[in-house]
Amino acid sequence: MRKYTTIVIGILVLFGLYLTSLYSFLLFHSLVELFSIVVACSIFMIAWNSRRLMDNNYLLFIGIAYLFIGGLDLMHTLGYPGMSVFQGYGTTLSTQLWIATRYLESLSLLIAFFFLGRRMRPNLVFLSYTAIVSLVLVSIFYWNVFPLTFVEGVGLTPFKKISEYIISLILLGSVVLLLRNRREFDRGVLRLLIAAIITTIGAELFFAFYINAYGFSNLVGHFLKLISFFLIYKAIIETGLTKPYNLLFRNLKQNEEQLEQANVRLQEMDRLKSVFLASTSHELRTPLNSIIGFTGIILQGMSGEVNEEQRKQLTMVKNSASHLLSLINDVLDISKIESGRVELSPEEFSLDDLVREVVEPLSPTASKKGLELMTEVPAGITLFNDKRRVKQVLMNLVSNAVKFTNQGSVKITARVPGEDNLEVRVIDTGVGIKKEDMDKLFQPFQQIDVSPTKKSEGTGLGLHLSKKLADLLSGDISAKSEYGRGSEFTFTMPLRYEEEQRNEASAGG
Amino acid sequence: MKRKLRIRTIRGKILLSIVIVIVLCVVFSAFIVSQVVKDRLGEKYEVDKMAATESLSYSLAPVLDLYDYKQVERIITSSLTYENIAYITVFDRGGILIVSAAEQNVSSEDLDIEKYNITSNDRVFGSIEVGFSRKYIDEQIQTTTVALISGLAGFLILVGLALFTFINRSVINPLGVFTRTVKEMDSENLALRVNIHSEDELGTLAGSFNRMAGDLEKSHRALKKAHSELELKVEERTKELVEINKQLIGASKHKSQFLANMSHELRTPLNSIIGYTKLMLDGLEGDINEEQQKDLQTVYTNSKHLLELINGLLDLSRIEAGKTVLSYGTFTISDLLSEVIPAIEQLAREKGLTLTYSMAPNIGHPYADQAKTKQVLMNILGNAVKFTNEGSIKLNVVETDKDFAFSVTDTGIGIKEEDLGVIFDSFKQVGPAQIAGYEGTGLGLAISKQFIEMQGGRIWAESELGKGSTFTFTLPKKKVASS
Amino acid sequence: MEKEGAGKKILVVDDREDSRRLVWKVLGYRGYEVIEAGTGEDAINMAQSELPALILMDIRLPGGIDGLEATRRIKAIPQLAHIPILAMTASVRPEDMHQALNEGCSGFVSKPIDIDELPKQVAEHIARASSTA
Repeated sequence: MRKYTTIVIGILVLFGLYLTSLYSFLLFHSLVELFSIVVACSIFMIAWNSRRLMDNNYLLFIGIAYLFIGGLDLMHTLGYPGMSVFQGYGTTLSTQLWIATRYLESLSLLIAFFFLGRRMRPNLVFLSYTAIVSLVLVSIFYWNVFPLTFVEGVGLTPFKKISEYIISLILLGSVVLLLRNRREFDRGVLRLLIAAIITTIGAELFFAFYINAYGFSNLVGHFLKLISFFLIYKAIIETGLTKPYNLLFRNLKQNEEQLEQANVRLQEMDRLKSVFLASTSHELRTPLNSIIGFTGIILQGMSGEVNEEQRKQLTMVKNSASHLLSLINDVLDISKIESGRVELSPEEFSLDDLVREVVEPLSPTASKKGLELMTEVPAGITLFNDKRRVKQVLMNLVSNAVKFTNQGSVKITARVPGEDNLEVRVIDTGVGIKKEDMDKLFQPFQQIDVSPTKKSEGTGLGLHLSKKLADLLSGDISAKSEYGRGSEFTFTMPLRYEEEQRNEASAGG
Repeated sequence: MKRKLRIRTIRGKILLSIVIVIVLCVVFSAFIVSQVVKDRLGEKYEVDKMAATESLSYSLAPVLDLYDYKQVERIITSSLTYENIAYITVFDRGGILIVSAAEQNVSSEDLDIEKYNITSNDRVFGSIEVGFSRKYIDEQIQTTTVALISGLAGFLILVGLALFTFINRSVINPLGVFTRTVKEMDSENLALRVNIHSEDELGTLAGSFNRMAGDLEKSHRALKKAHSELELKVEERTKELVEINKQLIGASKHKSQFLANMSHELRTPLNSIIGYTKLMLDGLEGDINEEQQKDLQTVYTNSKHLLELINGLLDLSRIEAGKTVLSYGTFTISDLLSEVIPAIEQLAREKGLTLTYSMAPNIGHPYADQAKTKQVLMNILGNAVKFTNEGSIKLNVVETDKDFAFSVTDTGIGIKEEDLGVIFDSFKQVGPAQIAGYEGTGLGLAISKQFIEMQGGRIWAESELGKGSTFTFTLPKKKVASS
Repeated sequence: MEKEGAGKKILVVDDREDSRRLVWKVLGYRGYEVIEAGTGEDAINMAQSELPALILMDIRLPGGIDGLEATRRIKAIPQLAHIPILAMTASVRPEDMHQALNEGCSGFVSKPIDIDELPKQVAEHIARASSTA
């Protein structure tokens, strides 16, 4: 709808101007040129004021150029035959100014492409134009060097006519360049600019033909010029004011687009890495599923009878598989912790429940070895932390204790020294640890040889992992031992999980 | 607003326009006014002239009748006081001058002369000649004109000022606010808003602009946040992967020891599983029934697969940690093939496929890592057999000036176009592989790719779904001299 | 002596034949009738046609429909919504477990499957489901 209104108004304006031209061509000419000059100056204003925001130097260059084009057009208007502002110059003056202006306009539109993607110093451009325009004016007004364009009674000089064609060619060149560089411009702006230039070419061609200053060609030419300026107005001003993003913030918009693309890429990378990570763990565990499962099935006689020898071997296979599973779990766990990727899921739980859960599965083994498994855990201690990890640590400590103790007892005690900390001790009467082995205790794969005959179970990573887990929980594990008498492992951690503590721990860890 | 050589602001332009308009109006109206005043006063002058002369002659008529020339003089002299009258001359009936009175300093040039007969009741007593001076009227015209024009100009200037003030307040100032705000906005400063709340187009413009700025700000912030969050996430994931690598390879103090330990630790249980299971499958520990056989076979196959997997992972990690060492040497293609072909031939025969190979008899000797090349070749040939159910597998070795190219073509199930790039990624097995129960670690091609690219070669696949595939890898020729 | 699983149908969904056979053996030994599906689509179809008492769903399935999606769809069908679904997963990550539970699984079983635990879990979830039905 708006488009129609514009067109209707446009036609009315043109018609009104036509009527004006019948009454007084001078008035018509002055009005048309005045409009163009105002547009030219507005273009400049917008371009200049946003010179730091615009990254499209083409538009900036044109903006500056149009101020001077407007100025020269003003001169041309004032020097028009009948205006009697400049005395003693004749009809050729205004046409000379006209030609000068059109050369300036077409060349500016062409040169502007040079600045696409290049740095431009607006002030420098401004000064250059001032110099050039001054030279032109001086050459017309004072030196009379500028070629004649109109001879009374004869009409336009060849210089004038040929100039109009040359100008049309230059303008055509601008259109071609615009099309070649279309990616640098917003589509709407591009269309308007091209339309404007083509209209100007049309105007120029009409001006190449006119006979007298007040004739029909002249009229049409001026109409076309009016339309072309209006189109430039739309291109730069309207887009500049009403659709800032297309012009002024193209840079920002492109940044946004780049950022979005980068985000998409990052998301994809993130996704791929997650998938790979999950794959690894899945791919490693899946075969073990079958191995452990089917071995168990045969052992339980679900497939048929098994003899003693087979049972022994199958048990070994099953144990190896379980061992392998623990190993893989531990490695993956450790990697996760080391990379800081573990997120704790804290919950409230009671300590004695947890200890019971740890002790229960180990009781059979303990009683089989004739060990006494005791707990001295005061009731009512509640913890707020990642239960699974705490259990993992305790399980490791207690199972180690049971493993390395052949007679006597394994005792688990707990107390709350101070208000906020929990201290759990696992004391056994086992084989103990030699002094020289104490450093290696928490290292990975440093299994202490307990006895040369006994095949060491365990992954060799257990204590290493537990230590890391303890760090993760903002706690600590320490060990005391006396070779041959027993060992005491102390695990401390805060009762409540605090975010800041965790950050400190991982920073130091 | 500074005034420099040129007026660069809208305010200046509008001011200039208003001034120009006022000036034009004034000039235009000056002409009209002066014309009108001239006309009017001129007309009045004409009328006055006639009237004055008429009344003079009327009043002189009775006096002349009485030949009271003294009275005539008195009348004339008093009449001279009228501004317009420059001189009065009275003639008698015969045309002889009776009295003449004139003002001082009168030049005869710009005088309008009125002649009138002094009559009464159709009796002519004489004639009167009155010279009217334009001076006064001209002065009057001038002063009237000037007064009118100045009044008009003053009025227009006031109107212009009012107009300018209005435009200033409603358009220019807001535009200035707009421009200033826009100037200050950039990626950092998106929080600025244009402070225009009028209900006209500028207000609407400011409103839409602010809204857009707000949206941009929000999305920008969200994007930045998402971006940094994502970067963080990716960083974390990368760290985790790096850690697994480290763990597998050993970034701890005893690196090589750890690596040896890890490999050992992982392979030992597996080997025992494989070993014992095989024993039992062969019936060496006792009889097993069909079902047990099936189950044991499952265990066996899975543990072999797991071993391959772990080997593959270790290989891959070692490569990525830069721990793989290439051992270059010169070898013959026939040696390489003799290590590889027999095993593959066996597998092919079991599936009823034919395996053929060809190479030029004078083919040169590559300078590369033989073991790794063998692994790659085994992998590719193994895949060809695996994914072909009928037909043939062809191995072709070609020497060019730049490299040695090995290509394996099969008549297998083929690979989808979109998967051709993906198959060299770890753990991705493509298409019907899983459904048909094909085993495979999914790492083979990934490792092959690394092994080949580390030696400076290329590896790629071409395929037609349902028809077959061709896998090709190249080993560049290296100058043997460098050692 | 009636076995605990007599007359109860279990649908096991896993892309690996080995894993399915494992479940089939373990549960079959206890009298359950075990039916198998290898893809998400098959799972949905079989659930509709067989109306099992419980579904064991491997979370990672190849093709368009993975375990979670299949779970979602099955739960969306009114006749099937009451069937308890146990997720089978090789992952130990809490977030994966939470996600499985959120999507409608009544519980999960970690791989490698404990052949003693599995039947207990199955029985428990079937009992729980029928008591709330």
